[in-house]
Amino acid sequence: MSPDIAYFAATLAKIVAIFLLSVHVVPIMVILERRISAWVQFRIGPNRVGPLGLFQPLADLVKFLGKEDFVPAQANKVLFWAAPALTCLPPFLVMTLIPFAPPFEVMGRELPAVIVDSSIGIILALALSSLTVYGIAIGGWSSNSKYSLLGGLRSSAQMISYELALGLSVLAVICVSGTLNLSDMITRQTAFFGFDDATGNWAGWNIFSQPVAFLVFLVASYAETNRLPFDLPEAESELVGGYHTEYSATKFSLFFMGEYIGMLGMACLIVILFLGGWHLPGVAALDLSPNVFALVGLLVFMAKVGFFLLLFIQVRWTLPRFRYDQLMQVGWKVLLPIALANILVTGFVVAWS
Amino acid sequence: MVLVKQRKLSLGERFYFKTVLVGLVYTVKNIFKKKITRQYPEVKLDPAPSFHGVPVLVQDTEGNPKCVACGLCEFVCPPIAIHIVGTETDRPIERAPKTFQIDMLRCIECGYCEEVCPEEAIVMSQEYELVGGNRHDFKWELDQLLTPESKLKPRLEYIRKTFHRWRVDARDEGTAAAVPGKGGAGKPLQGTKVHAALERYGDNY
Repeated sequence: MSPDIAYFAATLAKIVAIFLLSVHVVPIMVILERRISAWVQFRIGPNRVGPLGLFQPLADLVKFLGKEDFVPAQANKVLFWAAPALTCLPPFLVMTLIPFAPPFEVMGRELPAVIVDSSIGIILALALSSLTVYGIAIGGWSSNSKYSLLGGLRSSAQMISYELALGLSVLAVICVSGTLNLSDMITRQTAFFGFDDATGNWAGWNIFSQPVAFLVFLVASYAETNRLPFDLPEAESELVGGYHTEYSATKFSLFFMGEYIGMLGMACLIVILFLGGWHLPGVAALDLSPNVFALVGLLVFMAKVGFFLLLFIQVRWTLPRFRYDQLMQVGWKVLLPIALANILVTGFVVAWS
Repeated sequence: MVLVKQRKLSLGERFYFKTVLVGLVYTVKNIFKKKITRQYPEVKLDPAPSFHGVPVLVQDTEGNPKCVACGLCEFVCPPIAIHIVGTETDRPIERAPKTFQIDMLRCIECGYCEEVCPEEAIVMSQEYELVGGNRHDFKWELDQLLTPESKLKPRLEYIRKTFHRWRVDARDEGTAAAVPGKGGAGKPLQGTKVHAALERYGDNY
């Protein structure tokens, strides 16, 4: 087999694997969201479909597919159809940039567990994840409904406000790790807490060197994914359903899917940037064979991502929604100055050390 | 105008993170607490005596309805759900219903019939599951409505304790003074059941 065909086959396999992985996160998240929200409110939650209600997402899916695919008479048909796809696609593209595990070893060849090992990975990820807003804004505008339009506008305003804090907090991390490549970023966090002996650079998890950036990134990522307490675009109590008021059936479920995959992507980015990706203290010292090491790394990575996904859900059922002016205040008057100050301090420290 | 002075929040409070953490701890704790949902079809409600189920007729120990077909319940029924046709019998109590029909689709379970009945003949049961395939199924006839007195014990005791009080007492004690608001300035006689109950429960009785 020539290297080209091998590369092609490997990439195809990785695309299928990562696509299936991210698609299957959605039903798991749906059932977790519904059960956890019930538990928090002393309810039991859906437990009728299948054992422990585990097949509830399946029933939801059947319901979604069975609904009438309705298009409002005055809607812009082309954009109305394009919007769900535009919302759903960017999160999937972000997933192609995520290194899930250390490189596997297949037939004596190194096989990195990432589809696109781009040298500008983090910037690409941020750019792609912010494309979601186009789908939301277009969906809101093309529905020809006041509620949808308000939801879409809110979403774009919110994205602009929080994108800045998000980018600036990442900038500080880039200063510390000195690379834009996501895989390199993980391999530079080889210690849990401490400096690299050879170069004297910081080699621990970035959450310890950049706690402020971590908090800013965490908060901004909630706003990026339109999750509570920043789910102003779909604020049920104010805007019926927000940007997806007019959507039904499969198109609505695509919006849903986009939101959850976006959460997955954001959780992955948090883990890579701040929590050392697949790194777990003590695993490297075990001297495992490359494939076992990669598998352990995959599990560690998934566990960390799972923790942040659960945090997404738990925060949703803990905090009330911000008022719109509060949202803008937090974005512009709190997060942005903090991120700026953080990058200033980081810059001085990096320059003088 | 009332000016409410707001406490100035400290810097830590304004950062909000501590509050978020406190809230998260609370909601995580909630996950492991006892759930209050009743899994209804499997776990049925166990109604209290004060529960208003569908109204039924009380059957005495000889199998006859206590009802004397006076028509008070038919008259008082707000949604006009009751339809009675009376008849004569050879028994010591000469009147009885020939037909007694309650339209359960009309019935609103208000309990007025039970409250107005002079004979304790119609009471609210603890039955709350009404199922039928058509409207006719919900027109309960005399034989469906008749329920042995033994099955209705808790409810009968409950209504004697609450609104049957002065009627039963007035008849038992044979005194007009026992009826509040009528005769004797509403003061129950010493030693009557009403007096004892008033002593015990106060004005709420």
